[in-house]
Amino acid sequence: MRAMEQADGLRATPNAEVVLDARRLTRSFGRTLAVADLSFEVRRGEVVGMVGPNGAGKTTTAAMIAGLVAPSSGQVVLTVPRGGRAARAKIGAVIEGASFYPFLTGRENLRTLELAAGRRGGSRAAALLTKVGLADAADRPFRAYSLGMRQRLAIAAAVLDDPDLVILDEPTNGLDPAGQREIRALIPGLAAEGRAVLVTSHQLADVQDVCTRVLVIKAGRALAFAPIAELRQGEVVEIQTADPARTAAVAREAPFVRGVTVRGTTLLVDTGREHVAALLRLLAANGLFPDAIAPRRRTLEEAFFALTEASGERVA
Amino acid sequence: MNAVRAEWYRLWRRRSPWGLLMASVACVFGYYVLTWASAAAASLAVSRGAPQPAGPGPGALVDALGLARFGTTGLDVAASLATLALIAVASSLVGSEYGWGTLRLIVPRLGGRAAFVAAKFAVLAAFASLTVAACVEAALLASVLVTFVADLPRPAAAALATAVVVGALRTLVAVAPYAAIALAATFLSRSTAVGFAIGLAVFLLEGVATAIAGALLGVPLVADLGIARNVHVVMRATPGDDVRIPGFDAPLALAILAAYACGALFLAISVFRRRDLVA
Repeated sequence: MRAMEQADGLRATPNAEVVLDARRLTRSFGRTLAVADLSFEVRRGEVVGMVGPNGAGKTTTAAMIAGLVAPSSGQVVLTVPRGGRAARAKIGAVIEGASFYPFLTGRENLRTLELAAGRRGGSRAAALLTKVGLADAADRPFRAYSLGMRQRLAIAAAVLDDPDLVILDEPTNGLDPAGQREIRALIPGLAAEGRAVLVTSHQLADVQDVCTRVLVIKAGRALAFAPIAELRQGEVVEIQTADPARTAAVAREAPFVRGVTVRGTTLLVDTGREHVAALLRLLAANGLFPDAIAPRRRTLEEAFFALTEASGERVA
Repeated sequence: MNAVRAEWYRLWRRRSPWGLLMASVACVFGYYVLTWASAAAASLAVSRGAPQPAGPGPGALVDALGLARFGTTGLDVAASLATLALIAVASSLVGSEYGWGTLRLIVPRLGGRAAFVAAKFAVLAAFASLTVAACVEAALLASVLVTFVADLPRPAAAALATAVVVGALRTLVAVAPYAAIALAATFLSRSTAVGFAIGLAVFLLEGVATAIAGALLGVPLVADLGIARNVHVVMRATPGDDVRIPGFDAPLALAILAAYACGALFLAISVFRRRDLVA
C-alpha cells in the first residue's frame, strides 16, 4: 500500500522529458517474430510496467533497449538534455535475473562495475549497498547471497552509474512475498530520484503497486499502453454464494453482464454498479439469494485477462 | 583502459587462474624431480647388474636437465606447461562469463563490445607474461639445483642471463597463438569446455596435421605456415642453430604467430559484436 501511494505521487506529467522512445521495434529469431512493431516511451520520473504472457517478448524488448540484442528493424532513441545539449541517456539494466561474479563479494561486484565505467570512488557503491539493505552482507561472496539479496544487489548495480533509465526485468521473480514487498518498495524511489524506470513482470500485483503506466504486450505486439487508472476503468460485481455454478449460469443470461468468472464460492460479474439491483432481482426470481454482493473497481489482473483473453490466448 | 582495469580486478580476485599458475610451476619442478629420479634409479639398476637401457643413458638424461641445456629442455618444459595453463585460463575467462550470465551485467557498461573482447585479450596477455615468467624461473631454479648437485658444466653468468631473458620472451611468443585461439574459440562456442578442447587440440595436433596435409598435398608451405612449425623456429632460432626451414627466419615466424593471435582477436570481435547477449 505504501509503495502504491508513492507510485501515485510520482506520476510523470504528460510534459515530462521522454528518456526512452522505442519506435516500431521489431525482432525476429529465424522465422519466429518475437517483437513486432512495438512503440512506446518512458518519461523521466515515471515507472512504466511491461506485462504480458510468457514468451510475449518482454525480455527481448528490454534487451533491445539495453543494447544486448539488435532489433531487426525499428529504433531505440535514448536522449536526454545534458549541459544544454542532447546527450545519449545512460542505462542501468538488469536483464534475465541478477547475474554477478560468484567469487566476488557484493562490494567487489559493484567495484568491478565502477572500474568498467571509469570510476574509482567506491563511496557510491557503499551508499547504495546501505540503501538496498546489504550493508551487513557487503563483504560476503555473492554465491552466498539469498535470492532476495541478489535482486537487491542487482538494483544497486542498475543505479550505480546514476542512469537516466533503469530497466528491471522480472525483479521479483522467484522471491517470497516478503522479498517481493522489499523490491516493490525500492522501485518507486528510483523514479523519485528523477529516473525513468521500465519494469517487466508477469506479477501483476507488482505492476499495479509501483507503475504509473502499463504496456500490455502479447506475441510481441502491444495490446494497450495506458495509465493504470485508465486500464482499470470499469467495475466488477463480487458475489459470495453457496451455489456458485447456478448463480453464474443465471447471471450469464442477463443482457447487462459481459462475463462471469467463478473462483470457489466467489463470482466476479463483469458489469457496472448500476446493474446490482437488477442482478439481485434476477437471482431472487430464480430462487438464489447471495450471502454478499458488492461492486468494486477492476484490478489490473482482471483488466489484463480481459485484454489478453480478448485477443485469443490465456496467460501461461 | 577501463575495461582492462575491471577485467584485471576480477582476474586478481579469482583463485583458479592463480592456482593454475602455481600448479604449472609445481609441474615444472615435478618434471625435473621425476627425470632426475628416473636417471638415478636407472644408474642404480645398472650398477646392480641390470642391462644398460636402450636410448640415452642416465647420464644423458641428467645432462639435459643442466644449465648448459636450459635453452632447450628448460624452455620446452616451461612453454608446454605454460601453454596448457593458459589454454585453460583463456577458455575459462570467457566461458564463465557466458555461464554466469555476467556478460549482460558488464558489457553494457563498457564503451563497446570490442572493448570487452580487447580487454580479455589484454588481460590474458598480461597473465600469460606472468605465467611464462614463473614457469621459466621455476625451470631455471630447478636447472641450477641439478647443475650444482650433479656437478654439470656451468655457462657464463652473462650468457645464462641473456638466454633466460630471450628464452622467456620466445616462450611468450610461442604460447600466445594457442591462448588466443582458445579465447576466440570460447567466444565463438560460448563454452569453456569447447574452447579448452579446441585450444588443446590445436596445441597437440596442429603440427602433425599440417605436416601430414603438406606431405599429402605436396605443398610444404602448408606445414611451414602452421603454428607448431613457427613456434619451433622461434624457440630454436639462435645464432649457429640450424633453422630447418629455408627462408623462414625468426622474424618471419614471429610475424606468422602474431598473425594467428591477431586473427583470433579479429574473429572474436567480429563474432561478438553481432551476437545477442540474452539466453
